[in-house]
Amino acid sequence: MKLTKLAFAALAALAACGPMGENSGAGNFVKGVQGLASSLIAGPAEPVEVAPLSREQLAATGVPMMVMVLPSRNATAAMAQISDAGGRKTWMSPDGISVTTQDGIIVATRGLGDDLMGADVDGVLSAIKNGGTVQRTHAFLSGEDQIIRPTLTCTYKKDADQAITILGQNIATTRMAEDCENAQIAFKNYYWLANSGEIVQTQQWISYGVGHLATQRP
Amino acid sequence: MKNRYYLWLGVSATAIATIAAAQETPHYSLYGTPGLIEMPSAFSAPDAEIGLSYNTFELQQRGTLTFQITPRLSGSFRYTHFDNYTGNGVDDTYDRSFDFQYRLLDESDWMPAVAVGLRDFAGTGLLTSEYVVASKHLTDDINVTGGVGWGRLGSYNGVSGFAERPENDFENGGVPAWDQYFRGDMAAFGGVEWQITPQFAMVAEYSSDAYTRETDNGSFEHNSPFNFGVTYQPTDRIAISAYSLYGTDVGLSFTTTLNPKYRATVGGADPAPLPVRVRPAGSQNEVWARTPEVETALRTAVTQALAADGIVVDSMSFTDDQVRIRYTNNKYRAEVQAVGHVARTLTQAMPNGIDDFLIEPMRNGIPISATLIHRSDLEQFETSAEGTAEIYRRSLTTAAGPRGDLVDAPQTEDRFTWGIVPYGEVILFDSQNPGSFEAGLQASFEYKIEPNLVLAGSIKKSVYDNRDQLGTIKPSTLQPVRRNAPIYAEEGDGGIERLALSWYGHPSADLYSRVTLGYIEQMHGGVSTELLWHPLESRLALGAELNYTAQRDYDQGFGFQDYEVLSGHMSAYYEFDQGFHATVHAGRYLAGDWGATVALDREFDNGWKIGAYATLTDVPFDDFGEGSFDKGIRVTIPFDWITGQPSRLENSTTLSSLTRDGGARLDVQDRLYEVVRDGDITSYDASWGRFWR
Repeated sequence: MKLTKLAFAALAALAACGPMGENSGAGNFVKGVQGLASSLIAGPAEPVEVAPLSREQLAATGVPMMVMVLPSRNATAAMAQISDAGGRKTWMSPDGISVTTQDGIIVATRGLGDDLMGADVDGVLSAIKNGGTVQRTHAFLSGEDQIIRPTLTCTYKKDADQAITILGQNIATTRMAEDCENAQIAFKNYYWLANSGEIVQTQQWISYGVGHLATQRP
Repeated sequence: MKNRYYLWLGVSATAIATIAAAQETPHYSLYGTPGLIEMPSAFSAPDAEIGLSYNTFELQQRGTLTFQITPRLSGSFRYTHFDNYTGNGVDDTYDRSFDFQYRLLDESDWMPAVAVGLRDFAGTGLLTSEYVVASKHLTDDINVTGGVGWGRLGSYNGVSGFAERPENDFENGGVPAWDQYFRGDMAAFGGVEWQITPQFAMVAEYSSDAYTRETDNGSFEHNSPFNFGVTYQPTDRIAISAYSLYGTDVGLSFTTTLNPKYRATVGGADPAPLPVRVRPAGSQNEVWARTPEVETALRTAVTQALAADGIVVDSMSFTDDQVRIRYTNNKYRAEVQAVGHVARTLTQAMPNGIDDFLIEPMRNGIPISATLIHRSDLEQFETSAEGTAEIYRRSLTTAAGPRGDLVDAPQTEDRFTWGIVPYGEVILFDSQNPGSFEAGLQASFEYKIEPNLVLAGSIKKSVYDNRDQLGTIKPSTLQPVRRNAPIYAEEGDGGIERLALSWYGHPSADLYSRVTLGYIEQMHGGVSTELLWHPLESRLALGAELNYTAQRDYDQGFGFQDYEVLSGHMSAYYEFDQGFHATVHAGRYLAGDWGATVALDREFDNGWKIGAYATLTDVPFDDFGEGSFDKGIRVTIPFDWITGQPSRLENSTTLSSLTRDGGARLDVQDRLYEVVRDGDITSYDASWGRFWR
């Protein structure tokens, strides 16, 4: 019996060379395992600090910016808007994570693993502002490369009045709660509305693998 | 951490998974199959689960791989070490065995699950038994099993069954013993399992295996039919068990399970792709200044952008409202994902007036399909919930046309490339030795004369090996086309492993061609020609291969031995539903023998493949030698499943019989079917979910 071309990681790290060597199974296996190991080891350990960012820094970039906090990865990032497709704005972090929002509501992520592939959120903004019940459809990619598309029923109600601070600025907000569920999934999101009616801060559920993601508009 | 974070936002974060309770994994037995201790149960593992177990007690050490082939059918491969084969402390041996179990009836509120099984049905018969078994949960935590067995499982307190069981004259082994199944004495067995906590379980059984042969030769003492055990599961995927066996012995087992359906990174850890650029309203009808200079600039921009994404552009052409692009994807396992990346890159670079993208992936220098995508669909469906399905519905994939007006893109890849990599080879599971090992360095080069005409070669130098096989080559009446592999390894170390020129063609929409010329593989050189008929939308492909080769000298130089042979096969490939894939090669093999190779694989959409094959030729079993004929199981694990990072690499492992001369095919690299099928409709359907990754 024969196990052919088994990759030997340690040897490969020392010995693979040349353009074909770097692309070989052994070489890539080492890189991949290192990446996987560091992502698994670097689980949530330290408290999340709000990004050490200032309004001035964000303004200096010259493009619209958003602050994202991902507690399950212990990550905070300033994200720059890189596209606007008919009101769906895509924000990219320097380390290859993108989040797409429509009126502040997250409709897609990339680069997080268990990503939200897409979402239909028609009527959600109005329900956040006025209360009510809305259906949302989300799309996920399974481990078998199939799209799974659950539809959830969501109800909205005012949760509290809350004064929050975003990048040093105090903002009076109304906190709205969103409860979504179907037979398999249930999650709770929050949206903070400024007096202008604009969504300035959110905490939204992405997927089981990612958990919740928080956003702030400076 | 959570407290700090939630304090920051001042709210809690909740999400509840109530996904219909995943089917629970049954415990694995000392045989490495779902069951009690030595007795089977009627429960099945969840579909596609792979159970790997190592079990040991005084008489035997068993390593088993069990695969849940379908929700009802499971198959197992086992390699067993017998310490005391013919008596106490004498004559140890190794043996391979295969099992099948089929669940006939599902468990319901009132009815038990019922299954029928064959253990060691085609080996040397040391563990052979057959059974019918029923299992039922009394509560969520307690289940009972009862059954009737034949063979080993009919040996304790057995009663005469339906017919005489003939003696097993296994000779060279490896052949199903049809005349034995469910014959001879039959006996009852049973047991109970109690899941005390999620981590701990207890099991007790009444075994119908009397260990007759072992008791007779004095290597085992059988005092009681009752066995007891306790199982500890630190995680869902690991189980450690300890057993008391037959009143005289103890056993231990370690089992780990994995399921190809579940990827640790779920969708994969690819970084975010470039997004779609949406054209401003009204700009779609802009006429762009189409001059050769502008086209060259566009071609260069797209080529450079895609090169950074692991995609090598071959050529592009333009009309006023369409762009056509040919490229080779070196990065993504699924061609569909590369199609998605090319499409998004084109939205960034193309003038607003261009509405249609014709995207043609290539492999080995030949186009394998062409997908027409409307730019406005990309703009509309990038992040909508139906986006993946809508792009699929609105795009059209057909066979790639002729080259036509395509113009070469600037080269981003060197024509000549080389590398030195370490290699390792493990020879496992023969009857004398459980494993031997060789490691060394392999230097390779590749020179692309044209994209579809490549000269490639490699040299291998062993640095370490612990094999001592020269003395173990068993004689045969056949030309030694394969069995002298150890001589090649010994005398040819540092020689030319492979040096061949290969040419690929796509003569018409449904036809593909290949010619390979030179030192094609380690032991044979000459010319190999192949033609494949595979309409893109068809589940069927048909191929014909004709080779004229001579056997190479043992020193792996340029010389040949005095053995020339015309070999070749007619091949059929068929994609069944649920990912089952069948292959038949019928024709003439390297030793001049005529026959056929049949293979059945279960292929998962995420790139895993698990299958089995067998080759039967007109070589008599006695001439073939141990195992009687060539057969094996094979597993392919894609790298991106393991690491989450995009990669086209995969690790393929074949567990086969000893390499013998009967049923040996020429080992040609990159046969056509595996080259072109990545672009066919079945592959696109399977992996379309990755379009927007």
